Amino acid sequence: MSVSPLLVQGVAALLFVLGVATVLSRRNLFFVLMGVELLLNAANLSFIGFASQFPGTAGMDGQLMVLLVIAVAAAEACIGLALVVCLFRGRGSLDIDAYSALKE
Amino acid sequence: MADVLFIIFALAALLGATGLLASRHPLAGALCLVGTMLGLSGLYALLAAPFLAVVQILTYAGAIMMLIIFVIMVLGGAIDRSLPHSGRSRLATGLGLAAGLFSVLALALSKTVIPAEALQPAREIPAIGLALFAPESGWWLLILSASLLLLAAMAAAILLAKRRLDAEPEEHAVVEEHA
Repeated sequence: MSVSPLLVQGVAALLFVLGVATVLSRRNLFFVLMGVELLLNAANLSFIGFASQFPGTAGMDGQLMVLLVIAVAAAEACIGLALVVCLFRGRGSLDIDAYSALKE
Repeated sequence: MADVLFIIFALAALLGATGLLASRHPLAGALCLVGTMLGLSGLYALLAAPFLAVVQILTYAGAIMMLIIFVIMVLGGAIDRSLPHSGRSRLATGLGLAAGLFSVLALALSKTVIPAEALQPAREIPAIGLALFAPESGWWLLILSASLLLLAAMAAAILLAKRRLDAEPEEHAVVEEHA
């Protein structure tokens, strides 16, 4: 009944890297948003992986921090999707390269 | 037994994330991400966090992914036919930076000394509640800040989605045109 903590952190790092690749390489707004969700989840897995190794309150703190991250993710999805709907209404495009007005 | 379950759940999470990176349609990507959430929830249950496993399913797979899928459907499938899968240079940049980041993370992990304690017993829900609301620990600030954040997010989302509170519903025509 033991999972190697290093293995858990490795899985979390791989998930984080896949999330970074999604955010950077996709052009669709939805994929960028979902990539950010993946990043937050990878951080959560890392927190819980470390929390499972520490006894007492130190381990509990790691789990409580995950609760805050989940609340932040919910707020981020809420605002992000409202922004996507606004952008789509105004320009009718989901391509992030279409929104480069600040560059010019 | 725990090892087998860990491998199954970790594979589910990693395959879901890979599917998100590779899928073409946003809806397929969202369903892949739901698979990742479910796999992660299994991992949490294995790692002495049964409460967070349930919260993960309820909040992420239930609420957040439902919201994302709902908006994808509202925006007419949200696929632009003219939109390429991803630019070639963009893909190269993304994968290159991701590989660099992974090497940094692997280096940091290889230098980290993780205490070789046994896996802690699963933390029961009453213990989490007591730790959360213990006055001396200060974690109740977390509940306060999270509730303020969610309230602000809700107000902002309403203001953003409804451009002017007194506007007539003529915006519907614009949405349907693109749908």
